[in-house]
Amino acid sequence: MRRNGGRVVATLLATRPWQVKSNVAFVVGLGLLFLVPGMLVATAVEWGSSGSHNEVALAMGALASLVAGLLLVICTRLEPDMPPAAVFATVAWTWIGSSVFGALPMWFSGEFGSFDNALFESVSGYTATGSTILSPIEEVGRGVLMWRQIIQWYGGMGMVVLAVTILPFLGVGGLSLISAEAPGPTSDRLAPQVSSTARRLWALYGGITIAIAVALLLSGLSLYDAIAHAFTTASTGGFSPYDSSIGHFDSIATEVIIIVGMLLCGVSFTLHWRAVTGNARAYSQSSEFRFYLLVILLAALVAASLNWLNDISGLASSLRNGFFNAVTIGTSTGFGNASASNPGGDFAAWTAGAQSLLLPLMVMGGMTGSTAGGLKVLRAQVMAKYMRVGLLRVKHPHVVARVKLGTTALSEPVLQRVAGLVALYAFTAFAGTLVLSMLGQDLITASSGTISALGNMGPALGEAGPTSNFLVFTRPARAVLMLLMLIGRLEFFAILLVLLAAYERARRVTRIKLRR
Amino acid sequence: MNEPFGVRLSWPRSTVGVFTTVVIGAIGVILLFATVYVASGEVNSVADALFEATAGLTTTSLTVLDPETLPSWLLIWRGFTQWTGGIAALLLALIVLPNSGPQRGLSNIASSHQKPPESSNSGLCTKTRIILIYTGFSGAIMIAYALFGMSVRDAVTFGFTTASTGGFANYHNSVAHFDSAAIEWIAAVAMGLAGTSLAALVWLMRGKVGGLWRSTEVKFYWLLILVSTLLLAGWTWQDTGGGTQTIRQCFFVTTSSISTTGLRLADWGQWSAAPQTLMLMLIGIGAMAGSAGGGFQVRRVLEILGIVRRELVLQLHPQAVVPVQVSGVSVSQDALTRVQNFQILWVLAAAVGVFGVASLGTDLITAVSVSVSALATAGPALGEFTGFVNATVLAAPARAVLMGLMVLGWLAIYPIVVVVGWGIGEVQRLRLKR
Repeated sequence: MRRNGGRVVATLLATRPWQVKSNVAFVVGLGLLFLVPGMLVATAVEWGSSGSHNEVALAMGALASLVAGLLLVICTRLEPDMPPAAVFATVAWTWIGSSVFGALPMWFSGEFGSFDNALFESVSGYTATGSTILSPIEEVGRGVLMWRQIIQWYGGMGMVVLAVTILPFLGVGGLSLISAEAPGPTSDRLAPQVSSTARRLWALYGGITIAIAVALLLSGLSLYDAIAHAFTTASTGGFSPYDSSIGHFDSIATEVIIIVGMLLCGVSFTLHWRAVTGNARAYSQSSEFRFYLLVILLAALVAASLNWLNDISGLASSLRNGFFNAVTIGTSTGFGNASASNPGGDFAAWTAGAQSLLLPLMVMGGMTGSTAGGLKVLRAQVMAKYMRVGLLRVKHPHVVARVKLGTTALSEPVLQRVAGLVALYAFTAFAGTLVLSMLGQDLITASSGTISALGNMGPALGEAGPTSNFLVFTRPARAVLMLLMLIGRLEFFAILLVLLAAYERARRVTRIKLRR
Repeated sequence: MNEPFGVRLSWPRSTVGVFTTVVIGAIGVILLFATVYVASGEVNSVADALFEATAGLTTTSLTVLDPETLPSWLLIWRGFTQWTGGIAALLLALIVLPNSGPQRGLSNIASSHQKPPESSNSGLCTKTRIILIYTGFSGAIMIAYALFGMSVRDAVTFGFTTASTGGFANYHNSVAHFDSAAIEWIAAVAMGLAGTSLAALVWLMRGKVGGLWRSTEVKFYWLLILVSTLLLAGWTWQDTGGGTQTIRQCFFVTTSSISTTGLRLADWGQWSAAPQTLMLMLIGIGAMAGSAGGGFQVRRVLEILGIVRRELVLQLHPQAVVPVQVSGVSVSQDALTRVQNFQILWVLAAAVGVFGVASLGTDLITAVSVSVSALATAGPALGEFTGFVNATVLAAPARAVLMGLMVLGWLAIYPIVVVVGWGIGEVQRLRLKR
């Protein structure tokens, strides 16, 4: 079996004289090929379910991805050298390509209306954001909904990392590919070989997904529900095939499992790997991990007590909703647990003080090297320490103080880079807020919508709360949100580079025209 | 230094000493102002007097009093408190903080009001000159107001509060009360100038426009005013009647926001979301460094933009050396570190403020806008603050949070944080000794 698979891969990868040298196109093609099994699974689910009949749409989507992917892979060949720009371009185009092809089955099904709606759903899926334009969700067939969940699962760990698992010869370029795609400032090698690092990441990811699915199954969910929610919990995405999300089940056991799952996947996968390979103290040794748990715990407790004191809900349900929502926002997942019997799960109904606690959580996001989005705990932690050292320098101008993470002292250039990215993040958030408000949203919806999209969160405050859908944004505003989601997921540069390249090309074209 | 009454006064040499003096001084002045309000018999509650005094010193236009019931002398006093706040901010920024403590370059850290590069050779930085220019500027505004139909009382009060970017008014409707195009134009231009750095004003008076043109800060500030006015005019053309009336109103609201003055002409609340957000952002950006205005300040915004640009280049070329320049001068790494720290502190202060105000019983939009507005020492906000309402719409504890934010914003955060941090450290040391 394995040998056969290897032979197929080898045939695909074989060099032929007529192939075009293009790493970008090759990896994009591979990414598209990976979509095919997912779409086929969704087709099978649709086949097995009663009510809707979108098998053809899903199968056509699979066919389109297969044909396009094969064409790209067969017609191109990899170059061993990859300059940084090519790395970023590869990642960006793989994401854009997968988003477009991932949108096809949804568009073909006709359940989403226009193509841009399907594309929004697809981008929101791949970036593990979880903002949806569907309402009511349940009317869409089970297969298409399963495809939505699978998209998020792919996006959680990343298509490029998946491609690197079978590209052992990429060498150094491979590691920069992983770090260009993996969220956070560092990407640790889990193994000497890049492809085995990628393989281990995906193996861990798959393992966690299966564990969550089994736990959910034991808590009483159907197989379909368990798998669907395991996909989007592991990817910290937050899509659900139900309008009321996790609130649909109204079960504390399910919520606890989901909370634990989300918390796990907001943790760096490097830590998980160390723990799995025998270092049981890996977690407690990480100061980022302690900071992450502390912030979420604190936010949950304060929000719960504020809601309890203001009579939004009783103590028990305040705690339940506080924890669920702090975790779902703090890990950038975006599930909701509001239901008819538990209206306090909708944080739009919380007191303003408790709501205001969710904004910093949205900005911070999960740990580096996890599937979660946001600015990342590590950066927040570094900035907090950097600020303390800065204040110390005001007091004692000649003091020698360094920012330390655990036992390593960070050099000034590294600190500058972190601070630079934070500034870039803040700037993008402001620009996004301004643009969204120009497109008709009020201040809270615009600002929280921007932060939510940039941090790949899902729900926002204001009009775009956890129970409403993103059709409240106008069409151009949704385009801006899509861009923000991609920028946030790929941490700025990949997407900005592609935009910049397009601009440069346009400028060059016009310059030539002017010369003539 | 001066020797009044034969006592030799000198500034403490350590940074903490300077900061402590400044903070204690600010608290003392606030108490003094509050005492006058209480002694006047017009203000019944001490909390209200304190709030009004804080808003006065910090040149914020948030008020809890009904100005139309107050006697004339108290109105002028109220305006004067803001005028004092304006001059105090300028002196602190340009004289006290840069020249005291062990580090002369402290101005960059200590206050929002940095010395712009061109001020160093213009001989601006003497106490007398600053006071003269500021007084002359205020006098010119008062005369202009009086010439175009204000009573002497109003001209003096509005002169005080315009020049200092304060924004207290004698009427519920603020400047809209006069219903005079000329007064609105004067106020709008004066607010714009009050938010420009004092050094730039000197250049302007001397006719050295070339120097102004070389300053990225000046260009950025006035370009921002121009663009925002036009955007605002485009959005509100229908609501504000069109023509020059719209341009005038939009120009007024823009300069009132960016200079963090807070004189009012129109009710924001009737506008759509976009102009509201834009105005709040202008308030957050704030005036130029070296002016009496508050906010994050244009110079810092430019530095942050430089950092953003550098980060973009560094992502592609990690080994590149990219300088950050403002007005053609490279900004030192130390200054960049400070501005990044300041950015974090500012956002953190705003976030704490939002949480404080929101958990004391308002909606989120009010909490966010009023916190940003108070931290920028402006005043106008959204939500419950739309229309010509005053700060009594908030509960007393929430107003206390705002008082903290105003003082923080006025002193550009650092002095307070350092003094508080030092105080906590001392207390811990005392405990350890025991």
